[in-house]
Amino acid sequence: MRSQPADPVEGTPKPQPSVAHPARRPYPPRRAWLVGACLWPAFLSAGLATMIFFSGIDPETLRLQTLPDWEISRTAGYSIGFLMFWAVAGFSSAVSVLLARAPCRDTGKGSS
Amino acid sequence: MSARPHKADPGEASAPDSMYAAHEKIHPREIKGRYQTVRKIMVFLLLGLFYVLPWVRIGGEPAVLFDLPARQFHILGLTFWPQDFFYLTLLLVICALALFFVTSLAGRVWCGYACPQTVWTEVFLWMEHWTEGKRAKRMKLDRSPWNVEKILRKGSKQVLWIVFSLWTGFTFVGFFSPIDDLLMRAASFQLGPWETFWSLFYGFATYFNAGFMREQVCLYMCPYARFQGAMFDRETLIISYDEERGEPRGGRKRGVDPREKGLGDCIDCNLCVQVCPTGIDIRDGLQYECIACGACIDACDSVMDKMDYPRGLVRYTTENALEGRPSRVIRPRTIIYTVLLLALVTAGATGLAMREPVRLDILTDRNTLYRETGDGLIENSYSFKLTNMSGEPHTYGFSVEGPAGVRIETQPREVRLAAGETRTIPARIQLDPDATDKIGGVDVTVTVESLDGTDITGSETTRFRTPVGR
Repeated sequence: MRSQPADPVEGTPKPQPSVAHPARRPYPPRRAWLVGACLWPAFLSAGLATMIFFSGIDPETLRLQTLPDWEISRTAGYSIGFLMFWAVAGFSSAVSVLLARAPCRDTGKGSS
Repeated sequence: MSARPHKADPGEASAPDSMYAAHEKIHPREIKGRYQTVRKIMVFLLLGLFYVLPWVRIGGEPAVLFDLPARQFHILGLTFWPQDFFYLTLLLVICALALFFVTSLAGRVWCGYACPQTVWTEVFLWMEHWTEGKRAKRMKLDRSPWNVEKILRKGSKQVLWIVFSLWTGFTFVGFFSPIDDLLMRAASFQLGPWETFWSLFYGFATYFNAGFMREQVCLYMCPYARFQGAMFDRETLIISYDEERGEPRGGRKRGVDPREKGLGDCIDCNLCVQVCPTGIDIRDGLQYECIACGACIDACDSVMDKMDYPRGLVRYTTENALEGRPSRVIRPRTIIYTVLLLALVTAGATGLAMREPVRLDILTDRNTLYRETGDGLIENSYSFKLTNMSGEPHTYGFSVEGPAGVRIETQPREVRLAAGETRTIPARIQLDPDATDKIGGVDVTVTVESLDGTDITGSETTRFRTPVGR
């Protein structure tokens, strides 16, 4: 979140009333922020999904039914499950973010 | 408190590239005072719990261990299995309700005093303070070009931060795997790949969130910050600037009567802004950025003391109190939360106290409905799935209740299960068809009982199928 050059920091806040941080705006659609907006809610959802899913299903049973020849420990099972949930939820958030943004029109000099 | 964001300046907001100006690093000024002492105590209490708990053992067993590989949670001598998921859900619901309750009573005290984000940020700020100095010095250091001093100071801060984060990540994994064993293996570089991954992951999250993101987590990432306003009412404790007393603000010499100069009590020293960890001016009124940490109260109180004015120009108060009306603690909202909380806690505690550490699931044989034995009895076949949910091995036997003469046979007759073991046991129940006049089936109750004098019982009712039309 520090990719852009920061404004020079002033020694004391300006005596202007009511503006502690004039720079702050709501919902900054910067690229880093958008990446966060995809990953962070997905992280929360993945945590919840992992908890509910694995409380009912033992990764060991899953392994025996699908890949019995592979050595996958339960720890690995939970971890892979979590990362998969995260990836899926992250993808969903990414599509949401993409669709929520106004379509970018290459209007050039106002062609439409 | 509303979660409404700041009004954007229309001129700047219309330019797409400048909708968000670069984030300005906030350098909160350090301040001493009542609320900061409470915060410090909370930091030691909560982080103390986090860092010490994995090491505590009760009777040789870890006091708290979420043993995911064995699919069991050990919490203070109690063992929980995946079948106990209900209790975890209940606990989460209770925690959420308790948070709502506290919010409606005392506002965002969770944010200011107990949220892991705030608590770890506080520690990271201490380390920044130790290495880079006080606020003015830190700002000067940030502005100054890279020289030996800056490299040394910033470098040692990073070293402290990274070591602390690594230890935090390691401790986190210690909640899931016995920590002393983990430390031994870490010391000889024999941690498993996932243990390494998760301790680095958690360590990095701590470093990033407490070192760099800080107040931005509260502003942009925290869902609670967005909806906590819904729990607020006019009786909720908030941090507020007494505008009537403070305005018009302005500088003055000590000992000058402000009323003569037409001034309020606020000397406009900006200290409340400088100490704010989220960089707001509390004098603008309640804002969703405010995490109710009380730093501005302590700052303002110290200034009021110096000026010989009464304390409390910025204080914890309620909207009603500010307008001179009485504040009530007991009101419909708090009563509803209290009743709900008490009911849930009682239900959970009763459930825990009455929890039998054995679980019986009965699966009926789907291939044959019933069978007639040589001596004219009707027989049904079942699979019993028996789980020993206690921490010790036990031997169990079965009995059945139902119409007169009902009999049960299991293979074997007595089952010995290790702690946490689940086994499927074939079983047959027999009944004299003349004992029941029900058509098609009758309910029977199977009871499992420990045979070693420990008095553990569990029962399950199932359907006994009889021939139709007899």
